[in-house]
Amino acid sequence: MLKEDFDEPEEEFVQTEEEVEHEIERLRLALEVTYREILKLQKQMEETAGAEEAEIFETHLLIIQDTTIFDHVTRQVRDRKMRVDAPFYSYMQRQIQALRGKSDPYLRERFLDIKDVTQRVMRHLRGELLETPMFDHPVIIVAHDLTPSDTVQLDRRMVLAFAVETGSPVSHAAIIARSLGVPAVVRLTGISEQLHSGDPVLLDGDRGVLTAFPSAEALSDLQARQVRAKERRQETDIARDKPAILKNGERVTVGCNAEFLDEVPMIQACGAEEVGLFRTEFLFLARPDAEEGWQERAYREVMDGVAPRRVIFRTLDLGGDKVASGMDAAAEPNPFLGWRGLRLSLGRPEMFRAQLRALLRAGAGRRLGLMFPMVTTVEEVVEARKRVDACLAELSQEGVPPPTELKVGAMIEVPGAALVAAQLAQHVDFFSLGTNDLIQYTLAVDRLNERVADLYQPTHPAVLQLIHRVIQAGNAAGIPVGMCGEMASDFRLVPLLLGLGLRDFSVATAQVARLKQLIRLCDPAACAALAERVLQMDSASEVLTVTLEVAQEQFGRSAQVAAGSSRLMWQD
Amino acid sequence: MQKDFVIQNKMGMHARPAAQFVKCASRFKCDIWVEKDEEPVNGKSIMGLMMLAAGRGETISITTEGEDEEQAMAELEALVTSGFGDSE
Repeated sequence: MLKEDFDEPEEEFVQTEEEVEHEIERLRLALEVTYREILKLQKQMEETAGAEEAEIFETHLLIIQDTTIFDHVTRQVRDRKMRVDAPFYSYMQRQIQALRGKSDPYLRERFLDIKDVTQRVMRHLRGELLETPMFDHPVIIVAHDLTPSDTVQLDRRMVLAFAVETGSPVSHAAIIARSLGVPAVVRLTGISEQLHSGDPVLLDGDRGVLTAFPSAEALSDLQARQVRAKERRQETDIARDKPAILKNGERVTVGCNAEFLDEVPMIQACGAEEVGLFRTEFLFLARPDAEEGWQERAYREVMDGVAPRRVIFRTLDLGGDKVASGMDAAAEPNPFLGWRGLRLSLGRPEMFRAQLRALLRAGAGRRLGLMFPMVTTVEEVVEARKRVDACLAELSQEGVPPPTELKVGAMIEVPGAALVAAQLAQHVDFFSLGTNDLIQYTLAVDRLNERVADLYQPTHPAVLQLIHRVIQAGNAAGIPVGMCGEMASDFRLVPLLLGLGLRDFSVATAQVARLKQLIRLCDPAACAALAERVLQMDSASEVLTVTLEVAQEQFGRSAQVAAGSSRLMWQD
Repeated sequence: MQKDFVIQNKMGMHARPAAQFVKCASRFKCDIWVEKDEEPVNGKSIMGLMMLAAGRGETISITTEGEDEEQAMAELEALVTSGFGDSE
C-alpha cells in the first residue's frame, strides 16, 4: 500500500535577516536536489521503458525550474519572515487545486506532476530520505494515486498489477501499466482506506475488477482464464505470419500503417504483408527544411528495414491540423476545407518535386508505391502523375534506375472523389480509402467536437454507399482498392467490409495479427449477403445492429462483439 | 510587441505543447506574457501555461518585451502556428 503521506506544514516564523536568507537557501537547495533526482529517474525510465515514457518527466523538470515558484515563495518568506515549508506547500497546493478544476481531462491529470514535485521538495526540505518500497515477493500495488516516480522506483519484477483510486485511461498510471504490460484498474474510490498491506486481492484487468479476499473458486477461475489467455497469445503468434485466407480460399492482403523510422522492427514482427500507408509528414515536420538527400535517406532506411515488403508512401499530407511552420496556411478560416494534402503539394512545386525525387531515388531498382492524399478532381491526379513522370525522366537522365514496379494511387477521402471514382480509376493504379476524412466530410462532422461526435457514424448508409461505389469502380477498372483508415481496424466491421468487396486492409502494427485471425474465420458469401442487406437500410444504428449480429456469427466462439465498444472481448 | 494566435492543434495547449512553449520562451532574455480571457501568465512558467488551459480554436495573445523581443516572437509564432508539431 502506498499512502499519501504528507500533511500541511504549520507556519513557522524566524527572527533575523540571516535566518530568512538561510530559508531561501534551503528552498534553492531542495529544488536543486529534486531536479537532479528527477533527471536520474528520467534516465532510469528511458533505459527500462523507453524514451517516450521518459518524456513524462519533462513536465516535472520544467515545474521545478518554474521561477514563479521561487519568486512567489521567497517573497512571502521575506515579507513575513517565515520558514519556507508552509508558503511553498500552500502555493503548490493552490496550483494543484486550480489545475484539478480544469475541464480538459488530459491537462487535469497533470496535477499529479505538480503533486509529485511538491512531495519530493517537501521531503528534501524536511531532510528526509525518499523511501523506496521494497518487495521480496510478487505484489499488487494499491494506492491513492501513482506518480511516475513512484512507478519507476517500484521493483517491476515484483509488480503484478496496479489498482488506484484516481486516474483515467490517459493518466500516468495507466500509460505506464500499458507500457510495462501489466494490468491496472483505475478509479477505485476509497480502496486504499479499505485494504491493508498484505491483504490478498485478485485483480482482473479485462473486466476492471479488484476482489479482496477472493474465494477459492474465483481464484481458480482466474487462473484458468490466465492459462487460456496464454494459449490464445501463442495461437496468435503462430497465426501472425500465415496469410489471411477467407473460407472460400480467396486471399486478403493485410498491411500495416506506419510513420516513424523506429517502427521498422514492429513492421517486421507484426505479420504485415506490406506497408499499406507510410505517412511522410512526420518525417518532414521533424525537419521542415529537409532537402532531397535527407528525405531520400529516410525513405531508403524504411524500405531497407522492411524488405522484401512493399511500402506505399503517402506524399505530404500537410495542412488542416498539420501545418509546418512558415507555410502561411495557419491563417485559413477553414483549414479542413482548405489548402491541404495534394492541393498544397501541387501548389508548392519545388517541395513536391524534392519529395517525389527522394522517393523515386530511394525506390530505384525495387517495388515502390506512392499515393496522393485529399484527391478531389481528375485534373489533380493527371497533374500529379505528370510531375511523377517528369521526375522519372530527370532521374533517368541522371542515371538513376527506375523502380522495378511503380504503383501510383489516389486516396479517396473526399465524397466528391468517391462519386467520380470510375473516372479517377482511369488515371491511377490503385485506390486507398481514407475513412477518417471520408466520414468527416460525408457527414459534415468533426468527431473531436463532443457536441456532434455522435454523428460520426462509420455505418451511416451514405458512408457505406460511397465505400461500395469506390470498390465497384476499382473492380470494374481492374485496380485494387485498399482501406487504411480507422474503420479498417474496427474489427466488428470486418465482415461488413469484406461483404462490400474490400480485400485489402492496412491497420496499426499491433492489430495486424488479430485482423488476419478474424479474416480467416469469415465466410465471404455470408459477408456479401450482409452487405446486400445493409445497403438497403435507412440508418446507421440499424446497420450496426445487423452488422454486429453477423460479425458474432462469423467470429463464433473466438471473439465476442459488444455494441458499445469497438474492442472485441477475445473468448477465453 | 504583441500578437494574437488561434490554437490549432487538436488537443489544445496541453502539457507537451506547454512544455515546448516554455523551453522555447526560456531561451530569450525578454519578458514574455501569454494572455487568454484577459488572464495573463508568465510565458516562461509551465504552471502558468497549464493553468491557461488554452484549447483548440481559442485565442491567446503573446506579448514580448525586451531586447530580443522580435526574435522571441518569431520563434514562438512558428511554434504555435505549427500546432506544436502535434500528431493526429
